Amino acid sequence: MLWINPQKAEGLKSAFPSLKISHQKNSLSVEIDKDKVLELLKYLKENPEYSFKMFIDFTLVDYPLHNPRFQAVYILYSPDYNERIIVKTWTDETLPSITTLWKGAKWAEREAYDMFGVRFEGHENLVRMFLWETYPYFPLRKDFPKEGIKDTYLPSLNERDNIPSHDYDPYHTAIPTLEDLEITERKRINKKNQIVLNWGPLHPGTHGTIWFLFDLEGETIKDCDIILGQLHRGIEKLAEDLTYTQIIPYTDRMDYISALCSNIAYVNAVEKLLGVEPTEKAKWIRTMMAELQRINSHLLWLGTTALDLGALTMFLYTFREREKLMDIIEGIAGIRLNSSFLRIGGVRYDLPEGSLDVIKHFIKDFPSRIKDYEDMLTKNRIWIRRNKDVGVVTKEDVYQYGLTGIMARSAGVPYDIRYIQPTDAYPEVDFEIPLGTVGDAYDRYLLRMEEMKQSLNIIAQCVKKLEELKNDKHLATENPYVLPTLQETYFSIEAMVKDFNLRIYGEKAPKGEIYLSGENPRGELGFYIVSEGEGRPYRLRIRSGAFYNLQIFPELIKGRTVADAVTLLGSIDPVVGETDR
Amino acid sequence: MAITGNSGIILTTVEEVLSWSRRNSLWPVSIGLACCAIEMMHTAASRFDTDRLGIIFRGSPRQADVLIVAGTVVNKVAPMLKLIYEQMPDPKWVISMGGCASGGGPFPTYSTLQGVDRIIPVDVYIPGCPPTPQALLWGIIQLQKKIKEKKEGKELKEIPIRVPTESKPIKQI
Amino acid sequence: MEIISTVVVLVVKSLIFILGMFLAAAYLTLIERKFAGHVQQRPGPLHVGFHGLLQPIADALKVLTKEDLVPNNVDKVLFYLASLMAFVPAIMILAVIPFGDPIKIFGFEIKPYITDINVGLILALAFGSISIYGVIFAGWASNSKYPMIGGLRKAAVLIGYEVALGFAMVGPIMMAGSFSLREIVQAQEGFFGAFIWYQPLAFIVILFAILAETGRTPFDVQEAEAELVSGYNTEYSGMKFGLFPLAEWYIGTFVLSAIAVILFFGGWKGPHIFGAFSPFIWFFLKVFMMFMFFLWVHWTLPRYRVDQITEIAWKVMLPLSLLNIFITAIIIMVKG
Repeated sequence: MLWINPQKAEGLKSAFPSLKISHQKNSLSVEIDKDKVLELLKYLKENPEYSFKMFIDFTLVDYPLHNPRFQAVYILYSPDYNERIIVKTWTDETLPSITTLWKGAKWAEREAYDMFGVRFEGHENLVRMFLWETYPYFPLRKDFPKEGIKDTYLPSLNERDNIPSHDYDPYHTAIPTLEDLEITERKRINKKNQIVLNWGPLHPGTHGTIWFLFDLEGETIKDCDIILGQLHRGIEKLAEDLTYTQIIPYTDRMDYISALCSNIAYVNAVEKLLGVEPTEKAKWIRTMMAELQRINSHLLWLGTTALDLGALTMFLYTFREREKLMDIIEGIAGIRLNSSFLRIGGVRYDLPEGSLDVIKHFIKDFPSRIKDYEDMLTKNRIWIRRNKDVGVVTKEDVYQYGLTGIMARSAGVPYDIRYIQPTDAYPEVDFEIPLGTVGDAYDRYLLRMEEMKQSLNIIAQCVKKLEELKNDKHLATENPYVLPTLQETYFSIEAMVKDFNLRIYGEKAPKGEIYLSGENPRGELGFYIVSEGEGRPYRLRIRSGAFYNLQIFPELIKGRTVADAVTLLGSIDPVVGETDR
Repeated sequence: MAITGNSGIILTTVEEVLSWSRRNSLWPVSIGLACCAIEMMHTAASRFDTDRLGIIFRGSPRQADVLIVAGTVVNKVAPMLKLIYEQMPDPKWVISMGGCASGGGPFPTYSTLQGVDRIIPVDVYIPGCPPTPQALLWGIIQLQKKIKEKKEGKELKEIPIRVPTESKPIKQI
Repeated sequence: MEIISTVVVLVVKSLIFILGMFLAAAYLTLIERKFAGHVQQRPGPLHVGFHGLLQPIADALKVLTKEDLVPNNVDKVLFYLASLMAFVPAIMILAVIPFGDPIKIFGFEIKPYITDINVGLILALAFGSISIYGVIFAGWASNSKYPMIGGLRKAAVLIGYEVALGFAMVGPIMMAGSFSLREIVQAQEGFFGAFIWYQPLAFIVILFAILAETGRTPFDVQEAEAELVSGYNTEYSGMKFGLFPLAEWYIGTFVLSAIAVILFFGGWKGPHIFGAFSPFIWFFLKVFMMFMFFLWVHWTLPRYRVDQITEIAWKVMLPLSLLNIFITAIIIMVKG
């Protein structure tokens, strides 16, 4: 755990006497008054003794019975000392905006406003992040129902005698009109130049449903803003109503391209919270699967980026390898895409017979395929001209915006969760983290290609280790928080009772909070879980890497053309399921 | 074709030829909403290759025949999806791919549309979360059958879903 | 009587040319899809007819009977005109393309071309340029943002490449001493008489120019799908849409390939190994090879940005073509 040393945190008291330090098992947080918080954050950021330069996350937690009602949570990271700290404060209505300290807080504050209705003083343009402007409610408040307010009559248009399901409700939550969306758009951007181009949300080139607004002068983008929320499904709200195990499938559907990596980040956080230790074999299987998924994800990135830049055939070549990986994952996890393979305390299934042989064959075959891709693109003049000098990211940008993953590493910041806070089998495997020098789209292309090779290297080590661990258990079922396997449930009454209890009442986590993250192919995927001692989380905040990475897009694209927007978006590689949640 | 109410032999043949041409050249709009879009891309890629059936993805709704709703439709995107549907020229069809598009799926929340058939009429529902490429191809073939059956006065009311008559028992348990 | 027979012959010939081109263009789509499929390790159209042979017919019938949708706020006259503007001139270039020498069958002399005028090449270039206006009109008339950007991109690209194309053609014209396509072919004698050996620079410039004019991949900025949905034809549906790719990608590429073959590869000339139809077969074989070359490029490379394309046009292609004229002129002067 990367928390700041308690003694060092005590040192803050000399500058801020009203500071309250709370040191828990899984976190270290400091609490301060609302009017002092900006000062404290500034002190933490600029004092070289602490140097919490990097912005990780900001969110609110709603306590309806507490006065003041909302708890604000800032998570910061210090690259110099490799430490994290949580800063908390309480408010009822307003908070000072910290966009003057970190530009990356802009969207996080918009989101907090959207979800909780807390206003931020000094924010440059406080609009709703995910929902439309005329939406009257603040959905993440505890008094708002999960299903929303069903006030619109909206029956199925398919004429049917029998209604599709028993709980089919012809009344539905309100759908915005096109005028509502136009108001939303107007609030973001004002036309100052020739045309405002709506790039997206339903557009072949925008990687899902991101809605870009470009203020164009000719083809040069003078101003840009992004509207998210076209895939906002309310996973954070849903999670407050589900047990810890039930949330696992939702983490798949967040970042659907690297489902297993999201699973691992989430399950690790929950395990730390519950104090569960997975078995040795499960750790190695997880690491292996995560790396397979990372290759899979990078291949999709390569294919779609090439497709966006016009190289159609590249897309089909990468999908050929993806199919092989999908087959491997399907063979092990049972499902191709959203596999929900992980369980608290281990993995769902043991490795099937022969799966390691298939993977070994893949390891043997894949380097030649990477070479094919590199032959086609790396030295390709057109590819270089399209990618060089597009979207140059500096180290300062990384800290300001909280960029993680490839975006951070392309700027030369060695920020890789697998390295700074290794979980599972990562402490025991040997791998290298490639770093960029320029920070442009071409660098990020090279880094992703190199990462695929490194992942292959990790997989080879995992396969070797897993062959030794052949007869080990894949699930730590002796732990009281871990669901028993199907076999045990059917053959032992204790296991059956335990299964029943865990499924109905959930894993009763001790009171506390935790922030733990995993290295997703798209960046740091962090889970901030607040537990009130119930079987379900009181608040589950998802720190999405793609959300923060995408935030730098408007700044990088200014003064460039629409064609560059495609390249830049490709190199940031966001997944809407994760940015919108 | 403005020749309704006539069941002359030549016109029937014309209708049949047109129906044949339509079902063999279904061009979907290349719009992906969520997870299902990845499987839709896989369906179009080399292994499953929708081009075999004459299916090529078009970027513009004006040139498309089928709208494959691939993924969760949230309230915010619903009016825009409806607009896309309205921009498509007749005759047009809609395939609802996956649980989320068909009925909200695992997201019974304030922001998710509980079934795309609340805003646009759907021809074929494909179950799955997400449906495999094989399932999407099944859906497309069902749509082809539906177009074939839809001659004058005879309309396929419901698509029969074939349930496997026997399933293998799970071993040991 | 003379006039009537001439007119009848001309009408019949034109009909054959136009219908033949329609059918050929339809099947060129199939060839492209099959070719792309095999490049990408998939079968391409397979189930509609034997190995997809009926696919173009299904597509054509479907596109023809699709609802003819005209959006509300378009410039209706230009909107209709644009697709014709793109298609008709492209097919009119065929009028000046000779497919072979006159042959005698049953005592009739049949000329396998519609007309042989002494400014044939200039006419072809002119028609080619008009065809481009279709695209620009389409972009403008649609009254929509993506088509407009697409149309303007195309205009920017074409201004550069039309100039380079025109200048590059001057080399072979100087060598042949004529604008007539038939005479240019006749000036190329034997295998080493083909102008490709003397005009490699011009050939390279023309290859680039054809790729740019027909909007094939390194230069397909006008309908870059990831950026502009479908580019200038975004608002078009039904057959009005169908005419654009037909004109640009197929007829345009085919006709310009034919001109390139005539200018550099000796047109229909080749060893007489196929009997009486030898010239036709050689001609179509060469054109087909050129066409396949363009497909190959199209399905392999990524695309340039629009400013990079114009940069190449003005900074590389134009100087190259001028240099070519200069060198050719010196050689002709020296040789006398």
